[in-house]
Amino acid sequence: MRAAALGVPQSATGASQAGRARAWQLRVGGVLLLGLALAALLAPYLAPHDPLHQDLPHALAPPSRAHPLGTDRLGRDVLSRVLHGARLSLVVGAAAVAGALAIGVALGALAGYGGRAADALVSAAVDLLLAFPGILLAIALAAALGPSARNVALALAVLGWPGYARLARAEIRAAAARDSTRAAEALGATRLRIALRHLLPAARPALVVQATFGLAGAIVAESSLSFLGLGSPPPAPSWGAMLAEGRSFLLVAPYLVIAPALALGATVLAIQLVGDALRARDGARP
Amino acid sequence: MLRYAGLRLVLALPTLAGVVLLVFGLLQVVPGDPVDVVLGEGASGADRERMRAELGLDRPAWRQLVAFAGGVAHGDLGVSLSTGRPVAETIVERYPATLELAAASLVAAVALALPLGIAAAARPGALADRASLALAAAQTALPTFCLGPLLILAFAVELPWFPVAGRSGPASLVLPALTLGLGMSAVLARQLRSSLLDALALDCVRTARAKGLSRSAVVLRHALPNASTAVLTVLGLQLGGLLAGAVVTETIFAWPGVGRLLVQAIGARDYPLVQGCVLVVAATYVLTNLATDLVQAALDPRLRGRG
Repeated sequence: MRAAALGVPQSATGASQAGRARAWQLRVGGVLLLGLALAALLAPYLAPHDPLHQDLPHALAPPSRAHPLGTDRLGRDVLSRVLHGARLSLVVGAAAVAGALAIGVALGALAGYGGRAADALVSAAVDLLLAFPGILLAIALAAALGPSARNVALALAVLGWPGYARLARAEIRAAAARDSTRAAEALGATRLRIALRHLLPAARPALVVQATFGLAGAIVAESSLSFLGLGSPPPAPSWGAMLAEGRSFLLVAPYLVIAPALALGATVLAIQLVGDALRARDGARP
Repeated sequence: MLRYAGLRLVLALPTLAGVVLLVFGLLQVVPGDPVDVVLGEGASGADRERMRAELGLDRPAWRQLVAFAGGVAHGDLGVSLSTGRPVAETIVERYPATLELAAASLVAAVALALPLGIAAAARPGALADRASLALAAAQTALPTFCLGPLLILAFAVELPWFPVAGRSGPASLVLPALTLGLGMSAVLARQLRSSLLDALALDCVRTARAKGLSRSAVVLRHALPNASTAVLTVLGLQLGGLLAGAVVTETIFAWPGVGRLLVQAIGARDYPLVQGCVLVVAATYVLTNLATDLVQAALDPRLRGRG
């Protein structure tokens, strides 16, 4: 777009270079993400120890062959906890995004294709919720509901839908103005059928990209809430809670903080790479 | 401009009313009976009734809402369950620390982003450009609660340059401000870079270059002002995020602000204090966004026409 603004035609080689970078991003991000998902899925088989098993005589042991990432203050194996933590992070993150996406798409479709009154109502709610710092409300809501993984997912879904609703509304309005939609209307298709068969498929690519970035955000938010003590109560292995616990032992056992921080960082980075590649593929919307 | 400012102020009122409504709703979604949660199941009947009256739970929900909203309008946020002191008083004590941290983080973010963004725009694809991209990637992958402990590990434990935690003079402000500011600076630098590149393509900037001005004069005096509005938008949005991010950062560094107060109140199940903290931070967020809009309109008259 910038090249066009400068009046410089984008060269074919430039485009294919970008394409190659995109393919590389998708491959690296996808492999990383797949590895993480497998690690999460197979955690009970991959983990060398029970993530909850306490071994007080060997508490705060440095990395060794038996404990590749050392042990925490209760002698629990850090590697096993990180692996099981991946499970919790991905499941809670995915549940939060799925919930937010379901609410957001339903309300966004209603606003974009359900008439003026519905649009005004939904848009007002979206504007109101987007005017708030989301993570603060999530903290408050999770605190009111009580600490548990389910409540974290619930809080993130209830507060995460406005972004999807806004996008779905915009995409659906654009699709509704297309000639093909007009033709379907003229042929007498019901509004519900048009919404499901014509409008939602048109909105899907943009929503998939947003949901990918949303997954990274939800995983970070889950860890933030767990860090603050609002996630799964102990002894559940959650990256955020492990970080919070490890802070007290920075001097003697820095790996207690470094291991979950790296796991979280790698997860977010992998998802971002996939999201970037998907976005670029769907026609470079900034 | 005045008319625009007045309009924006009026438009912010429903949002503020929404803040009050949502904060009120928090107590309503506490599962079961909040009195049980606060006092425990074994409390005596008289204690329970007193607590119920104190929280206003003995009245119908709409009466509670009216009383709550009326109290907020008068600056009365109720009484803390754990200390017995007025919530507003406690928050007023803690608020300056949060503002201080937010301001310092903002300064850190701008100080980092300005040179990085300008250098990145001056030579796209060169080292500074790549560095700003790497910083942006690192920022999203390392949220504050990862970065904070790592900074403590590096600059308070391994190299004992700064205090580990607490609020004891300017040195104690450095690490928390960096934790919050680093995250902001990445987004800010990327926005500055892209706005500067757009501005450098403007006719007026081309004219400035054509009349023989030096490269730095073109960038700093002609392109930078044109890029400032978009950067300001991001800055305003980030400032709001910063206030919310302060909850985590203040907890990491034991910084005695409203964010840490909120976490402490949650731990103590001190619902009025939780409500008060959320209300104050959310209202600050809404007002910050309003202030950003107004500053933008003052800088760019074209924006005043749009409602």
